[in-house]
Amino acid sequence: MIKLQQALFAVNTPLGKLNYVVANVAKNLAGGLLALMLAMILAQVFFRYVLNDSLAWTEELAKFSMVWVACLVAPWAYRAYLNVSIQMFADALPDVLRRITEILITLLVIVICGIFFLQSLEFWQSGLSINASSVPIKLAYFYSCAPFAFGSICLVGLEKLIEQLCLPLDHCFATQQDVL
Amino acid sequence: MSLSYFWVFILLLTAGAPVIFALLIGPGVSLILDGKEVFFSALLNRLYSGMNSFPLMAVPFFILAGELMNQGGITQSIVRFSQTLIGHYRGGLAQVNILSSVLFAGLSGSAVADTSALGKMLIPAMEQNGYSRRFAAAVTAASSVIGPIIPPSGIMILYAFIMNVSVAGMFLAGIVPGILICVGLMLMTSRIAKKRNYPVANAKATWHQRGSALKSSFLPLLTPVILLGGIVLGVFTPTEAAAVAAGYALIITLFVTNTLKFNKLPTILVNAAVQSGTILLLVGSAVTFAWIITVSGMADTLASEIIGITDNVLLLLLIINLFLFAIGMFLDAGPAILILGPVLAPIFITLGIDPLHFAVIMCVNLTVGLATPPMGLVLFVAASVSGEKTENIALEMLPFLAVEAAVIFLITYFPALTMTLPKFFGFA
Repeated sequence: MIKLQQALFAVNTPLGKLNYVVANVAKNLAGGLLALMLAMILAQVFFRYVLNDSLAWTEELAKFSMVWVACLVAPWAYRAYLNVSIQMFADALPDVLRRITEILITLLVIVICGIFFLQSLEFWQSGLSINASSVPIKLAYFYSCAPFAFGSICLVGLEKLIEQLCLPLDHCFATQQDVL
Repeated sequence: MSLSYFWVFILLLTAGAPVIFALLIGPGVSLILDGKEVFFSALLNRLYSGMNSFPLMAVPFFILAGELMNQGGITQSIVRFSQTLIGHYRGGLAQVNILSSVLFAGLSGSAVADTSALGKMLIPAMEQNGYSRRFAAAVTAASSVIGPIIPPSGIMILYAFIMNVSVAGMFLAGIVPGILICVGLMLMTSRIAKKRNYPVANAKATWHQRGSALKSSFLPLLTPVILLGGIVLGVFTPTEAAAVAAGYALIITLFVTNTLKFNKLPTILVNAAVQSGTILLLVGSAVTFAWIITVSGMADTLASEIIGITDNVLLLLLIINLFLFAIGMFLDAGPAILILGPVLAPIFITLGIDPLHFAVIMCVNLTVGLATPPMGLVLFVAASVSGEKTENIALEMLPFLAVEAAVIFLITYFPALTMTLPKFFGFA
């Protein structure tokens, strides 16, 4: 039991570090992209009303940036428990049942995000041959946010799953020690 | 297509799964069970296109504008201005709390931001002035629901996006309900203050003092005027107006009031990005779920079931209000609107209710739900800011909730209260 626990921790420590670095860098990039979005839309207003010359590319680029912001934030939000959930009923469950529920939910998140990750690779590939309508940039650059989001959520999910699996082991280990 | 996705979704939601994943796992499990895995790519497309929308971009910009105003210390000047206006009445600080919420609503559009910003400042001040902590927290929580009702409003943008209703129309329709809640809360506060003999906050301010307080808060208070004026006059789209509001907030806090330092900007941008990103992902997932609801025919089934209850529209509106109120007790306004809007709105539109009227009923009802136990985000923030127990605040809030329920009743059965302004400006 202890060996299994040590093995799980050995995997989870570098995985946790990797997830933290990726999520943190992505979160900061998202802040930068938000500033860029703001600059683009303000430029759009300025050009249209002051210079009487509408910019054709700002709206499309700002939209793509916004989707990137959402995808970049995804691993941080999941890791930091920022996604809205109803915990009231789960909290009312007995401890063991609650942990099993958490593990099952995390497993389902990993599976569904894994499926979406594979789908998003095809989605990304579909953008390799098409340019955005207003700028000569391949759509694949914009679509690549989807595999990033689902891939990173899978990794965070894996980290959470190992953590959740270790908790009952801790509990079991403590109980065993008590008996001994 | 089977309805298993719906039961999986409900099961996951009650089991504590994040709403965003419950919205994706439900349809995903259903596709696997029905052997229709090929539709996963359609789900992904919906998810992506659900987020890739220009009108939706107003959400991150409004969040950014609110963050800038908050961090830029605009709260103090707004409270000071409110105090000079009504601080001399009995229960003055409680009244100041409510009026500040209305003024703050024009800047942030978020009930949580309102509770946090005003609560941190006013709850300790009210306590020092002889109010009970639970009353101070209850007034803060009850009045902060005005935030998403008076424009700008994050949840109204979400509703407008998912149901294709005019954002400007919704903003205008929200003004009267917001004012009604404010007046109702003030009357209730005045009654409680007299009964409990709460003090006045300060002597009646002179017009000179009021003018001086207005001077320091004038520019931030112009934000909703620029916003609504710009949208209603057709100068900006709502998204552009939101960007202009964020740009305006940036300029006045950095260069005019000098209350924001440049080195704080990265943190503000990252905070706003994180808040926006989580909402946008939720929107994408909700769009996916709404599509499955339509494809599976569940929306039609539910519609015929609801219409089958009674053919009396007024009674149906009452039932739906009670249902939404109950939902609001457990689910956040944003997800509830995204999930239930596409299901419920078409039913009532078919029955002859104006789309804008129903939109406002739904938004106001679910916003009030933010302050109701057991799952009230605003209630939790008020508890955390004040250090008072959630259940104590909830009990103290009952008279205020009665006021808010009465306003929901009024706007439901007197459509003129919400529809007059949008009609006047040609949005309905």
